[in-house]
Amino acid sequence: MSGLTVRLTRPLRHFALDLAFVHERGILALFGQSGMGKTQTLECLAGLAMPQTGVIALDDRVWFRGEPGAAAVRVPPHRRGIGYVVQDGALFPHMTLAANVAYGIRREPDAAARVRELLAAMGISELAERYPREVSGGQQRRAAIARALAIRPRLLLLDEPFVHLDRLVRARLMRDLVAAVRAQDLLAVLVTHDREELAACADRIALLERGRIIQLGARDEVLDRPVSAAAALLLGDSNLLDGTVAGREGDWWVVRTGALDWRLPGTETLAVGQAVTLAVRASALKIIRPDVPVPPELARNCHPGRLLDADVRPDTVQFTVRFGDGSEVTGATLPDVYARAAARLDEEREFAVVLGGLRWYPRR
Amino acid sequence: MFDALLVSMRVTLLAAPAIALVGLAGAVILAHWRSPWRNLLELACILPIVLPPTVTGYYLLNVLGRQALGQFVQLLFTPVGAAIAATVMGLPLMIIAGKAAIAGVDARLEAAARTLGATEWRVLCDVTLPLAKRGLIAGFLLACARAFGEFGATLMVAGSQPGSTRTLAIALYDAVQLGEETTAMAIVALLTGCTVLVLALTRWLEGSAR
Repeated sequence: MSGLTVRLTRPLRHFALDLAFVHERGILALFGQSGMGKTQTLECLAGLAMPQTGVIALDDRVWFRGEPGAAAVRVPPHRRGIGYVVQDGALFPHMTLAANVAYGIRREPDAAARVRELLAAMGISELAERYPREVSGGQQRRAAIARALAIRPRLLLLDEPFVHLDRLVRARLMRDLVAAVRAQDLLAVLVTHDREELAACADRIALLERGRIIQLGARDEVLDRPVSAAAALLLGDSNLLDGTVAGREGDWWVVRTGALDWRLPGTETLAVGQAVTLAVRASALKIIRPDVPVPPELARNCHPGRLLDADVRPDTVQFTVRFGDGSEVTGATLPDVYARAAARLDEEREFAVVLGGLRWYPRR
Repeated sequence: MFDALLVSMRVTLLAAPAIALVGLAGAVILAHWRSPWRNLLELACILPIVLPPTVTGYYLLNVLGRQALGQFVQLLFTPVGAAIAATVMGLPLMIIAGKAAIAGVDARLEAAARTLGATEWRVLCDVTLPLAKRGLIAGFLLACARAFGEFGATLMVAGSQPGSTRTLAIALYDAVQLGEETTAMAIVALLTGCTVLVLALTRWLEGSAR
């Protein structure tokens, strides 16, 4: 058996953790909103909390076993040798950065040399004798990662290690962390609720909702093809529209939501009248001025709508439109694209709204 | 009055190590022990400052005066007896302040130490106690100040023997009874001064911990 094997249940306050996965290479991201059990899962892996039942094993070492018929195993955290990095780093405030990094290896003869090496690898050599409060948040995070790597872990647990950092600092830190994991062929489990981190760091993604994994797969597979409406919504930029299958037009299925018809390519067998949910990425929503003709290939999924509001930021614009039947969708685009399409529109006039990349999910 | 000051100092010096050791252990246990018995223990630790001191003294008198104990050591009406009374009366302050300081240490730091290979004992020595240090010292100083000026329980257990068990607080009572205004005022000034000094010190310790 190679890699991390996890199967666990644990009651939490509002729901129960109940999940299973195997992780053999690279970085696995546990993705979900706050309070969905991501941190509690990491705590079970680290041994800081014990599941109620299940098995946790790394390679051929069993860390936890709680199953009827098998001898119980409960390895405490200090005997697991896991690298654990929590939000904000949790450096010991009464120790210098060097002493922090040395903490897990202070009985080893070559500890001093290894600390120097790790500080250099994380680019904070000159801060060795500073205390955590004397360095920036990003530098603290770097020291925390060096401290976790010092004990030569096979498994690295990362609980939102990039939260509360500037964009640039965060991007650099992500790059360096991914490089460190690759260079030492580590297994890592990264807890995050940030889509950018998924795209930048994850090799595989597990979507977590209320203590359960609703999708697990390679990064691009999960990002491009969420398996359910819930997964699509969790991945952030999707609009969900409930409707029913209205019929078939050539190669297209026609789905009606409210008073609007949408056409989806597909050979899947759908039944007329079947309840489905349509999912649309915010980035796949286009608006076209009334004086511009709608290109024929977009006309299939185009309906008139009005702009409700727009949140214009330097790097992105988020806008909401309302269709004639009262349903609303949210789009996101670049500021210059938005300016070209909508700048001369007043909010009373209708313009064309195109939904691209429609996916459908069965609705229960 | 001078011999009373010496007695008070001797009693406090005897009580201080006991306050430090028992207080530290009590604070650690109350902050970390997860058990239904904890509340009971906490109650027992706090009881001496809520009960009338004479009641605490009466209990001590009965415990320390037991025949079985008396065969080995004579504790009643000795400086050691006074020190025991002072310890019991001072401990709650050390335990309450120490427990708060230990419980106030960020649990994520203790978790980090555990994942880095530290046993519970090492977590306590390397992380918890160093970070709770100021709160623990503040609690210790408060407890010592209480021990230094203890009156009711000490009087019950050790009486008022000049040069042996008559502490400053008891000497003050005697001085007032005998109408010795000057002595009384001197003792009041001394005790008030010492207490204010200790309070200021603990406020500074707790304040600069943040």
